Amino acid sequence: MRISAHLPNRIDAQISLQPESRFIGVTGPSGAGKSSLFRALAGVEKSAKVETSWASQKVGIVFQQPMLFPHTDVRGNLALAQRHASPNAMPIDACLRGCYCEHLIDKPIHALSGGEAQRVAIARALVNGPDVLLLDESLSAIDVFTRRKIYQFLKNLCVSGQLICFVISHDLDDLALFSDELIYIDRGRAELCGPTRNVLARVFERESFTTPSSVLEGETVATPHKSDGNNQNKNASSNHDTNSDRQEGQYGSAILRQYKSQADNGIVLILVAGHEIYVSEESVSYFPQHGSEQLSARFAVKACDVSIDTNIADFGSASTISILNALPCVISSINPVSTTLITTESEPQTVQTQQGKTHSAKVLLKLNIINSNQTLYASISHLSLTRLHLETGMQVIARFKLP
Amino acid sequence: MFGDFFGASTLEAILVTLKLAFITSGLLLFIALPLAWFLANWQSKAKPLVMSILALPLVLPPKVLGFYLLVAFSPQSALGQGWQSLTGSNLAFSFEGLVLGSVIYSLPFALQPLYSGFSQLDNRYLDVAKTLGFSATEAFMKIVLPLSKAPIVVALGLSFAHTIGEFGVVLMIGGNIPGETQVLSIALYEQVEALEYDSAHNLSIALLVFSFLMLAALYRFNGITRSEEGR
Repeated sequence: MRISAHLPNRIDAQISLQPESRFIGVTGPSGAGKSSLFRALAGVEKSAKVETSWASQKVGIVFQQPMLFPHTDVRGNLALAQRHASPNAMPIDACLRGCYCEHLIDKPIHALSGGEAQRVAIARALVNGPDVLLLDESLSAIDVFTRRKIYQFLKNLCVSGQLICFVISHDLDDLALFSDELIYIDRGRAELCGPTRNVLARVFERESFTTPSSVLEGETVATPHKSDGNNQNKNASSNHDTNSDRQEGQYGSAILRQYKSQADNGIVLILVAGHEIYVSEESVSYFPQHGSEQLSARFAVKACDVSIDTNIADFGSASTISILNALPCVISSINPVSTTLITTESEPQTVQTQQGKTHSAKVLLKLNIINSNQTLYASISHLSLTRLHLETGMQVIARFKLP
Repeated sequence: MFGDFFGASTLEAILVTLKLAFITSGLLLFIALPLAWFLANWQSKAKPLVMSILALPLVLPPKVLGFYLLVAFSPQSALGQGWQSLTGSNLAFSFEGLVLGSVIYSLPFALQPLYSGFSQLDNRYLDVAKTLGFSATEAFMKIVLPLSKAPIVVALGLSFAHTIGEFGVVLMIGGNIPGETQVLSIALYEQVEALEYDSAHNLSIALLVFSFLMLAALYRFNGITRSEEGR
């Protein structure tokens, strides 16, 4: 998929994406031209020259300000969106359910909170049945739990082939969880573009993040107890599930069942390189694996949450600490974390400002997970580095709390 | 009852005035709505010039405007001649001429509220409408008009009230034909000239109360729409 967008003095972006990418994250500093790019793609910038592979398809856009029509209520807004809906558009109730705003249907627009209005705005865009949906920070006012569920709902639509989603967000964890590919926009140009993990790593480097997040992928684990719950759910609400199956595709319903089965304690179990990892429910995104009915799961781990244990013999029996997760790793690089400091020296008559880089008390370790090609970041102190005699090539256990 | 209070000839003037005000404000809405929408979305160096011409009746002495209109309506002018060959009657000193004059005189009162209402409308509503598949006309009818309820009512109210109180222009182009072109303000002027202070008082108080009620209704309506939209 190739996209080229040009807007005089604002945007000159050439974007190249894999044909199978359907959920694409977009990030970059404020004022970089992300919103202008979306406006150009949506066809609402008169002076924009845009070439895309979806030229003839229906493109929907949702702004950060929900722009719900205030002269009518939620129902009226959805009815207006349905006037020119494409034939394969989802029914209103499915859109409302997916965006968690069924209870808002009869509310006047001025009675909605910021987050509620954003949810309704996304539902309104979906009711119109777009082939491509552009979300310009459209979920910024929604709480993290609901936000991730809506992202997952959109992701399911993408996976089942009903939608291509482009999402602008400053929350890199959100983008890391759901994006197939990531675009980094700066000064009107697509500076970075490619698989999420690669682009994220470059973005962290570029913006000298002291605590980057690593994105890990694994397979979901179904325990006997949980599959019981799964069956019960299926029997109890078969009617509802059949509807959802049709609307959200086969993967969508599998993911839905996954949610239900794991909801007991809010923790899901994911196999990463053969090791069981516990992750809190709201921090996981699901997507199908190629050529398999098994679902893949993705989650993000912040570098500051990762600790290093050199006692590799005790891998599975660290029963005296509360940290749940452990992965055997090899240190692939040790990078000092530098922070940009501005020092001001005052002298009797002149004030001199000096800018320079200084090393902080922390170092960033890049860890290769053994039996996997995945990378984990750990941010630890200089003191620990010297105390534990850590060096490149050393085998260690990375322990981290429930993400 | 009204006949006793005002007198038959005054009542006739009231009816002529109301008819003129209704027709003028109705016509103005049709003219000003598309014109204001065009102006609000028009960007050109000539825009200040056009805006000034359209706002001229606000500052021009009504007698000056009335004089030029009278000249334009005369059978010697192209407009007067055209009208005469079309209808067979004279445009000056006729009710139709009065309507045309009032429309021009009250145009800025309808145009300004609509223009500022349309200019303040967030364009992103239209961007959303466009991506939802609305044509420009449909978006105007279904989105812009309902969102501009308040400016539309204000434009209607102001042009109606302004036509009711108009004097200079109608005196110039309408003359003072009872039942045809004699409007309230001219009737009042005549009563004062003839020292009929009682009927002048009655008419004045009626106009005062009417103007007050009209403005109160407009302010009330504006308050309601504002709170409805949560602004």
